[in-house]
Formats: sequence, structure tokens, C-alpha cells
Amino acid sequence: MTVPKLSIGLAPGHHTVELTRLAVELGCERVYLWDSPGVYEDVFVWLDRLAALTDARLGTAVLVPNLRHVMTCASAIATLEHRAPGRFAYGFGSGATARTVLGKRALSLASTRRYFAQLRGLLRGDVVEIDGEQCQMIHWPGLAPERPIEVPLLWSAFGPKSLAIAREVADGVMCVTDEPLGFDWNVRMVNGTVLERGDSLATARVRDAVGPWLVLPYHVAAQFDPDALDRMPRGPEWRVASEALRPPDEVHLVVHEGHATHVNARDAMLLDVVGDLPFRSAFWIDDADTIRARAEHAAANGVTEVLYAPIGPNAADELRRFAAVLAP
Amino acid sequence: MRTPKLSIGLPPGPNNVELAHIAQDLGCDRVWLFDSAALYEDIWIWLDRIARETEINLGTAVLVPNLRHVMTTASAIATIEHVAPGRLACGFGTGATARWVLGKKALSWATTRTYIENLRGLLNGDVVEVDGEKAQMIHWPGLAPERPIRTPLLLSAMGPKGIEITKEICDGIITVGAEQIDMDWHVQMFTGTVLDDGESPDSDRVKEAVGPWVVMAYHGGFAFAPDVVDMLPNGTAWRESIEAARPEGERHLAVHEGHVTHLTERDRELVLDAAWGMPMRAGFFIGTADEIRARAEHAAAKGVTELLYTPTGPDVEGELRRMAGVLLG
Repeated sequence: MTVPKLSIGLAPGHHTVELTRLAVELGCERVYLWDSPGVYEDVFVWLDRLAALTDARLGTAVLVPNLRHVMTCASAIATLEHRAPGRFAYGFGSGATARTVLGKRALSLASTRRYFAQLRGLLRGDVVEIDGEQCQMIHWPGLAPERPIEVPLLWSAFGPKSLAIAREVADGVMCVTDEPLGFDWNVRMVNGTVLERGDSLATARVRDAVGPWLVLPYHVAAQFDPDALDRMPRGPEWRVASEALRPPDEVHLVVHEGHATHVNARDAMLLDVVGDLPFRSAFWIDDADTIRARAEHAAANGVTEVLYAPIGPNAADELRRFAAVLAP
Repeated sequence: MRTPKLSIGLPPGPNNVELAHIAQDLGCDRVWLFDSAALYEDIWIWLDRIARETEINLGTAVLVPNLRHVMTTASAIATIEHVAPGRLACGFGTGATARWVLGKKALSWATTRTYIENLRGLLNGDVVEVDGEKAQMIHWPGLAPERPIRTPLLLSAMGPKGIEITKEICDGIITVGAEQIDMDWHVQMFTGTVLDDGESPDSDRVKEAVGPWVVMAYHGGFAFAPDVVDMLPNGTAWRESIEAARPEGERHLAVHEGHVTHLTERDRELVLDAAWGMPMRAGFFIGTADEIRARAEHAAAKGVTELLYTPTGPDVEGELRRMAGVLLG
């Protein structure tokens, strides 16, 4: 049975060069970089470095509207396309995590959609209304690629309303579900690890590979529904430890330390309990046969690409294991 | 007599790395890139490409607050500092032209000041309030350079208020004239060209070389108020041509085409000669080697520490080589 293509997602940074080279060697489809300037380096600069240093197809997962003026985003996309045409795809989201790090809630779907449509128009070369004024890429010939600049734009969707928008405006969808969505390009984000005999969530390697993702529900709850923490395993204890470090309006700054890359000192106390939570099923933390079966199931439901996030000190090994299981 | 250091300013784009190499070989101090997203490619990507392939110092002249969230700017600075520590300096401005191109007026000094103060705080590692919420660079060790990140910050200031703010919060100033400012780091932007022996300062070559800057009077006038243009030589004809080219609401898109890089046919035909007689041109360094050297010495005497040359026209490399020959030779 078929499985989706395998791509990887990484936080922009110096570790990405070797991992991207490995991904190319293993036949991965694409390397996506996250965008969250409060915790990572600049996504566009790192995409350019990876384009120069590797042969990988590259992308973003995901850019967030309010971090750059839409013209700045269009100009950056043009810059990359000029140097390495056809190698990039750009995912966009409403900024759940990239904005929570800045103390903000996600953007509305309406404003995200507006940005997306403006960007598409600018890249086509159209005159587009931005903040009430008419704007256009008026780059002189040679100072940017000729318009239209055709790059795939993907939409990260978590709910039915967002999915409906994705169908209307995007070239593909990024999601965290295996449900049938009916897209030609359906990228399913996954964190997890291939368990060997005797491995469990108590194994240090496994914790390194999945810990930073498993604790994320606590981060989100801390910021927007702190009382929910009292109903989560070790939630009260974790909350006290986090809240003790900063005044109330700065707690989000310790909560998100190590976001999706490292387990911070408070999060370490959660690793014994997060494996039992209901959202555990969102992770592919299973033996090789089970992961293969999950991938086949996902493919049967229309997932065309699995975006795997290898992390931890052994990220390269994690990627090798995952790639072996998901070999076509 | 001494002259200031010489740097160059370029629009981010495909010739940058080659020109940076040449500038480095000629002994220039720094390559500054402009930031105007509707006209040029991405400044951070191009600064990084120059950083990777040359050893020359890097700068922004100038970044504009509203084009990127202040954390995005802090993160981009960190990204460059990580691979090229100590080579970057960031100039900021209120975005006269980078915002005109987007149909907007320049930002207020208050907004610009807040952005720079927030940026400085973020780079220091401080918790700063951004849009009413507390923000901090919380990059994990290795995912960015350790804070504090000590990138010098400069401001482009044209009037007394801007100069006062610059002295208060910045490490240096970027000006377009040689007025006495009394800051340890005073960058004067200039354009111009070195005349060949016997060459007239009004020759076609000279006009083409500095033309994209000369016509700025009309562009700026239009952005300020279209009626103002009518007071300039041949201004009415130029304004009518702009108004014929685009519908209302889109005319700024015709005005700023080729901004400080290329002359549009409209600008060449209608205003290049007309603008040539305007006082603005007196600020340009158009002269023989001796005359230009004298201007540089005058600037140094006024406290200018760095001349930021913005070569344009059909032969940017040649302009740069000639200017460096005079000021660094």
C-alpha cells in the first residue's frame, strides 16, 4: 500500500543544514521551516542559506501575517524565487504559537485570509489594496523576477471554517489530522518516533524526540485557559513552577521557552504523564509496523505528504528511522 | 587633510555580492542596503548573502518600522550577528520613501522612537512591551546568539527633532548634508560622480549617472502633495503625465518606479533637464577629483565620519571605482 511522501519541518537555525542534507539524501520531498521570531532566527534568511547549501525543495510551516508587512513577505518570496525558482512552497497560519510567544492570541481567519489574498495578488503583479491604499510590486526589471511569480501557497487549517477557506484560496492544506479532506495537496504534520523493542516514553531517546511537542498543550492552556491546567496531570504543580518565575504578564515568556525544540526545566516534570493524555493519539509514537499502518491509512484518506518534525540531540537518527519506515 | 571613511549604499538586488566584493577590495568600510519592499528584494536575505561571501561590514540604510514586527527585526539581526558578529549596523528611518511607495505618509517620530527603543531592549535581552504585551527574545541557547546583542543602531534624521532623538537613543546618525551634529558616528549619504578631465558637469553621462536621485524632488513633492509639483520646472506636464498613467489612488505607483536606481522615460523626458537647475543638485558631489576631495574634507571638518556613497546610473561599478579612487586613493 502507498504511504504519503515524507517531508520534514525544522526550527530555523544552524542545525538545519546537516538535517536538510540528510533529508535530501533520504529522498524527502521538502524541508519546511517554522516562523516564530521570538524563539527562532529569521525564516527567510535560513531558507536562502538552505537553498544555497543544499538541493532540497523548501517551504514554510508556517508564516504568520502580522510578523511582516505583506509587501515585505512578497519581496522576500521574490528574492528566493529569483535565486532558486520553483523550489519553494509557503504555508501560512493564523499564528497560534508565533503569536502566543508575543503574548497575543491567533489572528482572525478573516485577517489571515486577507493577507493571503493580498500576497497572492502582489505576486501576480496586481494592484492590491493594503491598509486602504493601492499597492503593487513595482520592482524594476532585473530588481526582482518578472511578475507573475507563481509559488504554491498552503493554508494551515484546524477547523471546518478554516478548511473551507483553504479550499477556496489555497493550493494545498496543512493539517494535523488523517481525516479525508479532499485536497490534492494535503500535508499532515506529525511528531513522533519509531519505538524499538523495549522503548517507552520513559526511554531518554524517546523523551528527547517527542517531549517538546507532547508538552505543548500545557503551554497553550497556561496562556489562554490557566484554570484548565488544574485538571491536567501535574498541571497545578507545573503552573506553580512557571508562575513563580515571572510576574503574571510575563509568564508566557517562560512557558514558551524551548518551544517545539527543547524541554525546559518546568516541562521536564510533565514527561512522565503526558504520554497518557488523550492527545497522545495525535503523535506517531509507535513501533515501525504501526507507524507504517498509520501512514497507509493517512494516504488512503488523501494525505499526500507527512511533515515530520525530528528534534532533539538525535534528530538525524530520528529522521533516518522515520524515513526507513515511510519508504515508498 | 583627512576625509571620512567611504561606504556604499545599494538597493538589495542581484548585483550586491559582486559590488560588495569590489567595495571591499577598494577599501570601503561598509555596504549599506536600502529597504523598500515594493521596489527591491529582501534586505535581510541580501545582507546575509553579502555576509557569507565577503568580509566587508554590513548596514541597513534604512529599515522602516512598519515593514516588520520589531521581533522579526530583532530575530533577523540575531541571524546575521550569529554568522558575522560585529559586522552589522542598523540604520532606521521614518520611511518617507519606503512608505510613500505603499501610499502612506512617513511614520511619526514617536512611533519610530518606540520601535527603536523596543528593538534595543529586545537585543539586550530585556522584557519590553510591544503592542501592550510583554515580549522578549527567549531563543534557546544555540538557536540565536546570546543576549545582549550589541548591534549599533543609527537613525536617519533630517530635522532638529530627529537629531535630538538620535542623540538620545542611537549610536550614530545618518544625514544627507554635512551639518555639524557632534556625534561620534556621523554618516552622510551622498550621490554624485567624478568628472573626467574636461568633462562638463552638465554632460549627458553625468545626468544619467545621478538622474535617479535628481528627479527625487518631483517624487517627494508628489508624495507630499501633488499640487506642489506644479511649482517645479515643467512640473505640471510631469504631474499630468503621472495622472494619465494611472487612475486616482494608484499614482504613487507610477511616481516611484525606478526609485533611486533607474530613470523612467517620463522622468528622463520631462524633468531630468528641468530638475538639473534646482538647488537640490548642489548637494551632490559632482566635480573633479580635487573638488570632490575638498567636499569630503569639508564634511570631515564638520564631524562627518563616514561618507555613504549611493552610486546609480548605467555604470554603478565604474562610479564606485572612480569615487573610491578619489576618496580612498
